[in-house]
Amino acid sequence: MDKKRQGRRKELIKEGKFGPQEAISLITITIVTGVFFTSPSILASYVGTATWYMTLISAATAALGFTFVYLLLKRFPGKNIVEIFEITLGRFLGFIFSGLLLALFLLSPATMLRDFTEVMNVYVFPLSPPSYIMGFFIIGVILLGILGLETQARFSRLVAPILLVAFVAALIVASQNYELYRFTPILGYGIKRTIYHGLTRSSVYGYTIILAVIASSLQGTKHIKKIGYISIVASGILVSAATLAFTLTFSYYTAEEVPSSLYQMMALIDFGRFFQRFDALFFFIWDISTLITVSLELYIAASIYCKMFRIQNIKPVIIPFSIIIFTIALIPKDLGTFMSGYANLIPEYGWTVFYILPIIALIAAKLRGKKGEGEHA
Amino acid sequence: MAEFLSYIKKFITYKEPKDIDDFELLESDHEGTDQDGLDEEFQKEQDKKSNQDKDKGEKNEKKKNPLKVDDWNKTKNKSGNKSPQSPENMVDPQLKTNLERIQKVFISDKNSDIIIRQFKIAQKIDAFIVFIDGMVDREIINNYILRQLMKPELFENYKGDRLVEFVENNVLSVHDTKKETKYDMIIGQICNGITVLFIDGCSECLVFETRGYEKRSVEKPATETVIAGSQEGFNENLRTNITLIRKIIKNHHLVTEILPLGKTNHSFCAVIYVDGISNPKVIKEVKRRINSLDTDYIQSDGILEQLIEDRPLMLFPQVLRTERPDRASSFLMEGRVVIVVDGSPFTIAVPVTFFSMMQTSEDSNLKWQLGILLRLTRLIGMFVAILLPGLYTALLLYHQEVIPTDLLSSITMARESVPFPILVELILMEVSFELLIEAGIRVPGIIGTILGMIGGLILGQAAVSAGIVSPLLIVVVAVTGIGNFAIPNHSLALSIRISRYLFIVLGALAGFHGISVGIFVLGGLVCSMKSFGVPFLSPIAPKTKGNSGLALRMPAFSQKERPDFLNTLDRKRTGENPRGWIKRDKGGEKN
Repeated sequence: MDKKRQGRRKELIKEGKFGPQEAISLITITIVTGVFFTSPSILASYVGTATWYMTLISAATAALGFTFVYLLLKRFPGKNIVEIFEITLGRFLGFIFSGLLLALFLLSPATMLRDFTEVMNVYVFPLSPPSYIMGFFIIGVILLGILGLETQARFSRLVAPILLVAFVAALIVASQNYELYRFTPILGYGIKRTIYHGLTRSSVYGYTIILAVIASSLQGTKHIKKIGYISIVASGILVSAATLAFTLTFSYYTAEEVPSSLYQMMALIDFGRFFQRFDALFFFIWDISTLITVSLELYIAASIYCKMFRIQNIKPVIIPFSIIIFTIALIPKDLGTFMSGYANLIPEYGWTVFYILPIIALIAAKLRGKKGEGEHA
Repeated sequence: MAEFLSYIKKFITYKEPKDIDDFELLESDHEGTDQDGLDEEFQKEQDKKSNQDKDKGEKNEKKKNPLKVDDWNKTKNKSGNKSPQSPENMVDPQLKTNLERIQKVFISDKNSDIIIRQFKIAQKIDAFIVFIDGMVDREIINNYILRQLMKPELFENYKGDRLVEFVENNVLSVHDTKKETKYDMIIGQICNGITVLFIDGCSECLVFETRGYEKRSVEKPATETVIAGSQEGFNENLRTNITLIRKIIKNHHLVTEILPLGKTNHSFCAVIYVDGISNPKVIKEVKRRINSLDTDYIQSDGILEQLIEDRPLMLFPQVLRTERPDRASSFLMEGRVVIVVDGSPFTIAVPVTFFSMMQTSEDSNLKWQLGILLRLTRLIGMFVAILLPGLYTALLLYHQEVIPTDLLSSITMARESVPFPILVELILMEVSFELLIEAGIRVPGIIGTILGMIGGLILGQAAVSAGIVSPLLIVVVAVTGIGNFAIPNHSLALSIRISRYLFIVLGALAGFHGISVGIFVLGGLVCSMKSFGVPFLSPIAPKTKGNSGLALRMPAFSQKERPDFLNTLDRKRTGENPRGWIKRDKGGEKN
């Protein structure tokens, strides 16, 4: 890339700086939030009782995929993925790759938003139209989007310990309904099927690519490596614990029918006449995690867009993008349509964007001998 | 119509964001180092800047064409300000000119407070003193200024030159005197209760400290009372307040810089910091903000707070106001900067965080276990104050399944006779409670207490008996109010009182979902706030290292370092073993 272009690049948006703890909180919350919705029941339909270790296979695969992202970032220190795509693949192809990433980050929050709304409709607000629930949600998301990435990172760091304690407490208090016999058959529908789905659904852990988009806000490639792996391990443990609790609470054939496994688990808690029905209290962890996830993904989409088109001010992009997300979220007709199609799009095929695109970029960089400043090939 | 169209146009078209000079207190290489190096660096920066300005000025001068006299007069009249070195601003050797000027400036023909006393020094040389009646100590003026100046025997050794210096060194028995030549300074001093002596034939005058106006004595703080701790509070006198701080911090590095406040008011404020501890960038920023103020009158520290805070539109306070000298001193020793405004019994401490607003000076006077209990109680109080009414609304309107059956049935029975919907009932009670608080503050002394009792007990009881509100709601509103009073910072407590209404409305509109969105938005706004470059939720978000005792009270001996987020020059508060009497070997084991 010529010096003129590099000079122009430096004028890009200010996203602020934050530390590893904030970044780990952001990424872990984004990955784990999926477990609150329809995802565990979809997993149960695929692998039966093997969900808890299937997700660990996915996490391991994601860690491998992230290694390529890390190697790419290491080769181009201080550069974000949009810039790296452009440097390694050229302006046109780099633009297309960034566009694919953008499309994914527009689809992902929309899916999450619809997932959330459907579960809300089932359990809490059966009479409210989806647009009403989404409307409230999107207002909060827009405000945090406008406040910026640094604020989102700080907020997630602030609430992460509370969410973690509440999450663990929820799993502990739900233990009164655990039955060990539901743990078997331990291999679920067969090890081959478990490994296959474990590999393909590794995309749920692929959100570590966010680190590549916001690389300039983090404190160097060394930290990115640490943040990425810790996030994957932490989310792997949390998701696995949640799916294990789910497996122990519901028989695998019942599990497939439950729209939100954790919410249902909380509804079954009964410690005498006074302490029962903790589901609505669990609602806060669920809601705030989703708000953090959707606002981060919205911001990332806006950030990729601004970087692609070299727009310096991200704020005016936030509202149009949130309208796009809101509109996409309204497309599925009902919960059935959503679960059979849209809900599986990113978990099943997201890896093509999360891992394959960075791998192609890395290969292209090696072949074309491209490297960042300060990196010696 | 045109205005409306322009508003619509502004709304739909893109405008470049304003380039605001956003101050951030970031980590630097100078932390924990000696300040001298930094001073040199700042000096170099200043020199570089002034050189650049000079160069620019020279270049501009080269380009400028000479002004015509009319243009020059126009410019002069337009600006209205005289340069400090202009002849109009300097003391004239002729006494008559000075007298006329003082009379003109203070409108002495109408202004009865201005006393201009003309006399002859040593019965020979014409002179006059000028002061404001009531602002000065008459005893000093009569016995130690006028009497001395009029005695001819005190001038026996006078050789005939440098009269001002002779008077200062040999005649006057006043502890603080200073020579002054500029009128803008002299006028400001007179307004502050200082007496000025003009002598015929001298191009400088003498100003002496004669302030002696009425002031309140040092009393107990009214808004920050404690059981264990100092019982002294600030009053409205700048000098007294500075002394109260100096009385606690007996450190020669404690620096007080006096800065002018307001263009026409001639009021002052003191910027206090401990040299070698406070970060120079913060000190510089505080001074920069105060010096840049362009307003005629700053009534109190509250106005100054609004003028210097980072985000004026934000609901929550970004500076901390305290009326306790011990608290202000503790802030100074932590590395913060304290601003004392003349005429205000509160001082401003910056930078501050949310957690410092939830602390009192009592916390550190108690054992750490008790301190933790107090801080946790306050935090619970804050959450109750902000969320309880909203949660109550959400529970009764949307999430009845969470309420245990027995409780739900008693709530339903109690609400049976209430004609209002929950939202109306709650707002009605909250507004009544607000009225009670406001009336209680405005009504003097004992009547206020009685009013609170009448309102709280009789009105609440009557409302329940009349079936207007349910008894549970009275409990909710009362507990919320008590929670609010547990917040030690008045501004923060008020902000929380306002936020509570947001949560009531959100709870009524969308139950727990609405409250979650409210927490998310409010939490985000608070996370985005900064106080003089320091994030408001430090040391939790962002996480900073080694801040034991900031969020929760830790033992005094474990608080070895100053807050990391303040980036102080001297990080260490204690030695490695603050309790020296416990001897430790290399492994840290007790001997």
